[in-house]
Amino acid sequence: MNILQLLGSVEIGLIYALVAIGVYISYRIIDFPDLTVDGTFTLGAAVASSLIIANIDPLIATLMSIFAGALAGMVTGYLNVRWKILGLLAGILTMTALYSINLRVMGKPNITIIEDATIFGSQSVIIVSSIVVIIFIVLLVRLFSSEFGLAVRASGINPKVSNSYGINVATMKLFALAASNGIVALAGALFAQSQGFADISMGAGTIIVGLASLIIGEALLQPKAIITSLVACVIGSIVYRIAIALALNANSIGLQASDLSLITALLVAVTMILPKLKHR
Amino acid sequence: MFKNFLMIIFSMILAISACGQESINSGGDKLLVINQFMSHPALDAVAQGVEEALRKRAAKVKIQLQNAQGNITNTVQIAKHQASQSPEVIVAIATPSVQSVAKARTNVKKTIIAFAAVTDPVAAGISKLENIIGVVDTPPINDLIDILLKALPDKKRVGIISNSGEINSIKIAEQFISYSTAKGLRVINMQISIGAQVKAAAEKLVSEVDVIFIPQDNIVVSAIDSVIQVAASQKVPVIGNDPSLVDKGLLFALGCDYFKIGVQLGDMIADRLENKKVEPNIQGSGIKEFRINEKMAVILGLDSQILKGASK
Repeated sequence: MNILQLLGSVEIGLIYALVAIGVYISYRIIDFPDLTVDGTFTLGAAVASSLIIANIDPLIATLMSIFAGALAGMVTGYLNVRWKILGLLAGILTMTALYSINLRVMGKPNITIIEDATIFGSQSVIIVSSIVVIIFIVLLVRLFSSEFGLAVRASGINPKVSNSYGINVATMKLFALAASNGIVALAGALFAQSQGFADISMGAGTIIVGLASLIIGEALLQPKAIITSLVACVIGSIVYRIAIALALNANSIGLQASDLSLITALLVAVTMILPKLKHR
Repeated sequence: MFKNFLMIIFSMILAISACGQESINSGGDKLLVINQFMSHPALDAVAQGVEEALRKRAAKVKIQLQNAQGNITNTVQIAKHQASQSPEVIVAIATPSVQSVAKARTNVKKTIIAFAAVTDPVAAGISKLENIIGVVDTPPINDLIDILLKALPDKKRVGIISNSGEINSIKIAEQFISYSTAKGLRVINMQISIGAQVKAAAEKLVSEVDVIFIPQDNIVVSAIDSVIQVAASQKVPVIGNDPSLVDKGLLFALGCDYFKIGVQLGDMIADRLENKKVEPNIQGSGIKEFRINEKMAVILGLDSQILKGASK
């Protein structure tokens, strides 16, 4: 693996770190397996690219994509808390609906912004996305140590007790899902702008990547505090990308191009097993 | 013990992966990498065609293929990975691959991008890039409609089942509608987005149209059997622009031959590697393939000789 490949992995890893952070908020903080993210990643990409094509400032376009993602997360939350639809199903419903909505937003399945100005300007993608990731980690750490944030965390750990303490569990869930999906949509917006195009199928498998990154990070760092958990998401996401980069190099030993997924899975599994062996 | 064993395995994978780089750059052959978006008969055929053409031209290249298995993020990572090897040529097959490769290319002067299986390079934003060659697979839709008019002159109502999630499918459907309406046909376009909707669309169409047209895409084609089954039960012919689907039960199809597109692109690459000019840098595919399913013609009570005559 050469330095360019490593930088490429870090670049994609940093953007997907936001996905892992989003998944962390829904899956770990409020204990909600949220599949909406497959749709919101594309939604973020779609909203940002469409607005950029319409000559809207890239920064505003990116902020609008966060807003759109948050709205989608709230739909999932609303279906779940108001109508008691199973969380998994609520996410699937929103994700399915988002496919049509994303097509409406983009107008066609693939739009290109390769010649348009993006939020990255002439800056390196790694620097800009590092700054974005750091800003979000700082914001989230402050949020989750505030009184409101503690209430959100409590309602995830024990909804019944939280309710009896006067915490509105439903509102907390709605908020967490909005935050989670807003961050994932931001990742989609950044990804589309860094690559110069948005495609209707780009969100497929987002939840798997997010979850894998989260769990790799947790296996490596074994975090207790919120800040270490968030940092674990970033590290997990980058390690996941490095695993794919290594798998891409493995074809010189007689492996085929189609073996990519298998090798990636093996490398990820080994990464997660190794830290556990220390405790034997 | 187990821990040490795992550590050894892990470091072996790392070492092998790290060594992979060395062997690529050794030897005097030029490096050609292929970024293929997904496995699909048409896309596989392009890759084979490119390899075949380069082998025939005895071009001194080492070919490395990576397949993103339909995942855009992997496509992007593969593009970055391949660009970092500073190859002479990056072959990108299908639109997302070309877009990712265009962004990942680090040395614009040295590395040639060669693309295929892109229907509309202007909409994909790649037509004006520097140092790019490619073959556009614009399907011969107008010719197909002319054949339809000659072969089945009494069929005036056409139904389309297209995939709203794929740009090729939409473009082909649009072109089909504009030309066939100009020729006096009535067209109903059913758009679907998942495989499960295809059969329902076919069931609705058979009662309203005389012919069903299937544009080439991934979802409708994956459920082609159910369309054929529904249509054949009502004696409605199904036509398309992917000749490989004729064996599945299309009455006839006129389309691009993807293997030959690959060969054409391979020849263009060989020319560039021999420092010859390739003009124009983005070419159409001149070769069309027309195929008829004679068994289906019998089932529908049609004369396959008339069908064959209509293609001339």
